[in-house]
Amino acid sequence: MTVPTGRAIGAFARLDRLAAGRDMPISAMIQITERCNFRCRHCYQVHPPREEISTAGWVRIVRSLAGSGILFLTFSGGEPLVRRDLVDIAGEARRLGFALKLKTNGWLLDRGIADALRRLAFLEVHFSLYSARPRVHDHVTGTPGSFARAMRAGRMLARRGVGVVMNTPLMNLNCGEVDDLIALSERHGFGWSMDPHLNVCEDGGCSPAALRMDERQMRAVLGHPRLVDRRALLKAARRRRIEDRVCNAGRTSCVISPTGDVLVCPMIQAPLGNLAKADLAGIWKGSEARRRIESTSWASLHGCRDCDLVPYCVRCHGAALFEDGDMMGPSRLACQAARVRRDALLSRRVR
Amino acid sequence: MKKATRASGSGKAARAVSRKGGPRIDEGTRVRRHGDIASRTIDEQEIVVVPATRKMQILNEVATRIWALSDGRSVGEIADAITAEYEVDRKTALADVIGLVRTMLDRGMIVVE
Repeated sequence: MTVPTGRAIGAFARLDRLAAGRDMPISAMIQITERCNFRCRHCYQVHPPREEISTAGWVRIVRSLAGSGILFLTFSGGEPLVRRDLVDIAGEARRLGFALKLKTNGWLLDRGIADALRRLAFLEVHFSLYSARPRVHDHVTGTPGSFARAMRAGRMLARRGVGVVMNTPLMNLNCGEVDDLIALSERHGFGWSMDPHLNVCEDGGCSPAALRMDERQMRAVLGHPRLVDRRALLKAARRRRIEDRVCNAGRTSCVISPTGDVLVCPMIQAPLGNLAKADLAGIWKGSEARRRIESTSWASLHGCRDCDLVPYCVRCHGAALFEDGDMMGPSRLACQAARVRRDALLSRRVR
Repeated sequence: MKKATRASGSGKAARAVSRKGGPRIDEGTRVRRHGDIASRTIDEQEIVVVPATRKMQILNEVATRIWALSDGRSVGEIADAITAEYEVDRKTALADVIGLVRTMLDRGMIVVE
């Protein structure tokens, strides 16, 4: 996993406190489009792409975000590079002093765009990497040749000095490849990160769930020394209190939808307000819904407050909503993962 | 007039002399913020992100003022401004500015002319 190390952790922790202290986000993810040129098997988006904001509209939003104190700006999608004006919008963001990131599948990233990303001093470009084996990666994306194009795009950026991070959602198809994925990324000078949770579709449809790791595979991942610091996790589990906040949604980062709606995270599609009608500070500070999500503790989740798995639980409100229909109730996905995590961490056999 | 605290980034005192060597920094050296830098001022503290190293620095109030003045001015001119704005003598201010400029240069935050 890529994690900030050494003094960087201190600086990021201080920034988090600064942002939380002024009750405003410090980073925003712009979902610039919902269109995508891939048909990934695990994609949670079901609704057809909505109408998008124009170039001038996004420039207005980016200026407003700068005025609201946002520093980190991530362009995401859909596939953000299907917007041919992405470089123009990012250019305005650069002029306004944002630290820029991009999440892409890499298919449309040619030399011209690589040069532009370097010129605009992008901090990081994140790619989805589903396997170290081209055949498996292309199977997940539904697009032959997608592995080769992603790797080529990553190499182009790395040669130009732009930070590249490969992100792997762990599935039953690729969870045995962790060493290969790390080695592949290191060989090319890329960072690597993984996400062990695969969400169901936003309408509750279960097709992505068929790709989830089973309990035996999850246990194997939890035993991998490069992925899990067992002592640190155990320490965190012992420190957890039922009054602790469940997740960071609604605290120091926000999401802007393709229509300009402000969301607390990509998984909770309930808009707090729209940037065409109000500025971020007004929307953020005036939203009771945001405050409720931000302050949700384990004690406020019915079905969780008395659960002995709480110390081991990593819970997503959005996943609970998608899969179980209740954002403030138990999440079957989290319960299963917490059970495995507890057993793995408490077992002497797993190191 | 504001009370001076030593200019620093990430809560650490700026080093007066770089251990890595580098160009000589004196009163006549002109300094400018690096064009690739991303930054924001939050609660009078400048948050500076250096894309080349993917590192972030949080500057204290005095360092934030020195950073803001790094627009092509000379180190001497910046020290004059700090002396006028804070309760600090010119000699101390100059030493502090030179130390911070050296640190910021090492970290890729500024360029010198």
